[in-house]
Amino acid sequence: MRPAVPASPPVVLAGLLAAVFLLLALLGPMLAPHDPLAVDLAHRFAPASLPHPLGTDHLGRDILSRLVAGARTTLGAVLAVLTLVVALGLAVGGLAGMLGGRIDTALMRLCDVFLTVPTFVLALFMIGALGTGLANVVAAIALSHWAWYARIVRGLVLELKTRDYVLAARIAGAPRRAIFSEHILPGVVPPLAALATLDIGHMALHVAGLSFLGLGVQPPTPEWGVMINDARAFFWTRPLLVVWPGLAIALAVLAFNRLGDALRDRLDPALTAERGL
Amino acid sequence: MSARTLRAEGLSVETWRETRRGPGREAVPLVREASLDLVTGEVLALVGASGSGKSLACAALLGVLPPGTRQGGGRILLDGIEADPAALRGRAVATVLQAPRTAFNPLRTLADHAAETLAVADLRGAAARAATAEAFAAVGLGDDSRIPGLYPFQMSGGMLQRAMIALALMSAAPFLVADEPTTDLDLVAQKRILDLLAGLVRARGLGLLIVTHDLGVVARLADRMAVMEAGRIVEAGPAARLFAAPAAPATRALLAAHRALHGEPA
Repeated sequence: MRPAVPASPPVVLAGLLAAVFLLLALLGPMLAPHDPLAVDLAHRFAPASLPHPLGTDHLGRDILSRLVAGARTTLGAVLAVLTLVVALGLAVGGLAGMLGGRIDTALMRLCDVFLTVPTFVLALFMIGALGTGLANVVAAIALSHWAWYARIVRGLVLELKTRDYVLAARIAGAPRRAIFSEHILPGVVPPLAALATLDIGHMALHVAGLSFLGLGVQPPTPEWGVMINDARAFFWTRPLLVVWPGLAIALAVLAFNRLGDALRDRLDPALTAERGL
Repeated sequence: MSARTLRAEGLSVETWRETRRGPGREAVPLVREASLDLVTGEVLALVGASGSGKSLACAALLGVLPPGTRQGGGRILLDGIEADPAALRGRAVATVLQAPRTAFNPLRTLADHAAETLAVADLRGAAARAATAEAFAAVGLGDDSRIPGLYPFQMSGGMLQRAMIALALMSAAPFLVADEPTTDLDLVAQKRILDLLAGLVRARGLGLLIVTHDLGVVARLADRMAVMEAGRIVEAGPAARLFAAPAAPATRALLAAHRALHGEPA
């Protein structure tokens, strides 16, 4: 029964853009005009034309098709990362907050260890240990980010635990599990959802960045970071090859960030008030 | 469960602070050796000034001490047998809290809260619905079938306090602890809640522990009373005797304050 707050035009635009990206990720192969892997050396570096709206790359592959297919790779990896991060954060932060005492201290010191090292450096280190490849990139990014989520979940749990209705539930004899799922979790999920949405863009940059460095998705799999890396050698002669995947990353990051901002304003009014908006 | 007596024996609650000289912590007593006897069908009033340790004694009885405090000693006896407070909550002892507005989860309807309470007693489905309807009827919320579907913000403070008493009844616990149940209510709602509690004690033979600083409430309801000061129970006995011949200075001070405010012998 939340009063309907009209969304501002930029938010609607961001929402539409994000929806387009999600649709591309879901239906990608069906929408792509060509096979993103089909090499056609006779038509390499083709300019924009009707069959190839954005032209072709150095192997004659259709750029639009590769962008569309790349949406699934990049956003799929981001989804996997966020699922892992939210699950780990909820588990560790929830346990620490609910149990308290020594377990809390131990888990939070563990978080401190992960929080000390900058995330990208930590992710690079993990890939060094785990090896390259998409699955390892997902694991590395998740392992270098879960501690933030655990911290936030723990803070929310501690705050919600002081509510009178939690005391009332305890006094009524409700088991700790039921108190967590009935009274704590509903207060933790909305801010966490806002945070995860805000982080979609951030994680997409990580996935694309690591793939650009050649550590993540391996060519010829279409992925935006890989496409930029492929195009690097031809930057001075064919700058558009870098621009298209770069634009895709920038637009995706922008759209999901704006959407996350709006979601946070909607779900976490306290935070909005704090920022004086 | 049809227990007859609930006894809190020698309850002590303490907090701690850094010692002034040298390392280590020293205990600061907050409740000292408080004993309370609850008998079914009787009302025991726990009175005392703010900060005298009434609520902490109740929290210790229920085993829900706030962070920063710990139990220094004491035990709970149900019919003379030592019991774990955690096992009594919601089964042998139900509780009504002071502030009804904050004691309900704003995201959950009354029916959700009822389901939670009934799950403790393993009541679900049709049996749970029947118990809910019966309890709501007992507190005067039974005439409108829409009430269980309401969210806390859609109800008045008095209704919520009734609902909280209904939740306490659903647990079918023989003992009820009510910590300042009328403090947040206006006078009309106060009277209704007190009448309701008195009626429930009579009709269901509940053993009621009512915590209050209002001697008017004690005079209306209580069979026996215990007076707390600085963490100690300084006087206990039949309410009529304590009103007629108070022995402890704290009791006399409370009575004098009440008479000065209300201008009539309490």
